[in-house]
Amino acid sequence: MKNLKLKSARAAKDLSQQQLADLCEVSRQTISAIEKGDYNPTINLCIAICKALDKTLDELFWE
Amino acid sequence: MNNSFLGGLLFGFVIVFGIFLVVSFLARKGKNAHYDERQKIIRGEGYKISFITVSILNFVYGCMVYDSTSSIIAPQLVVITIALIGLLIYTLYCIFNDAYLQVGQKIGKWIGLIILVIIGNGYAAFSNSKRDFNIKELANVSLLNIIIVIFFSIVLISFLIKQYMLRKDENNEES
Repeated sequence: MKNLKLKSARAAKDLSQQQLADLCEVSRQTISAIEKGDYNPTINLCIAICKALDKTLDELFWE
Repeated sequence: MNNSFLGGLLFGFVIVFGIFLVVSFLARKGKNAHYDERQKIIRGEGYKISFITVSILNFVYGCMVYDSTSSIIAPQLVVITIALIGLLIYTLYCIFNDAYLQVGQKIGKWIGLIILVIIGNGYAAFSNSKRDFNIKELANVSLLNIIIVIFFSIVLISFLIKQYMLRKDENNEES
């Protein structure tokens, strides 16, 4: 299932996938896979993404 | 064993050890290049697939093919080829699942190295006149060179295809 909340939060911060990937120290393809719903990140990566986007876990990863 | 053989062996060991030291120094000196969590999972899966493939191929060769082909093709050559097939499967799996390059690594260096290996082995293969499949039941070195050229050419082509796919994907994703 696509993670549209993550995509819109990233767009709201005006960040590209590469920029978000750099902030979280992962590859751009990993961010792309999370947005597409092809990969379920670990809690550590979820927290890193939330910190980078100033969001809570609930806001980005809870349905 | 004569002196020149021992000297060559020692020289080869020193060269390989020297290259190993230089590569490990450069790898340590490099930035914070690392595989992220998704890449580590993909690499693990790739290793599993290639290990199973190599095991099956070795089993099939050892049980069914060895007797009928050992006089035509050197068993040594077949075993090395099977190992290279496993390595190729692992490499291709990692390339097409974006788990070959570490985070922050540039592809240019790798493509340059691969081209260097292809040219070096290609030259070695074609400058050697012996191209039999079996010389006293040992693999002919020039054939190994050809196999390595094929292996790295496939890796290079896969790299280029993947780069093309990534460019296309980047344009679609960022819009």
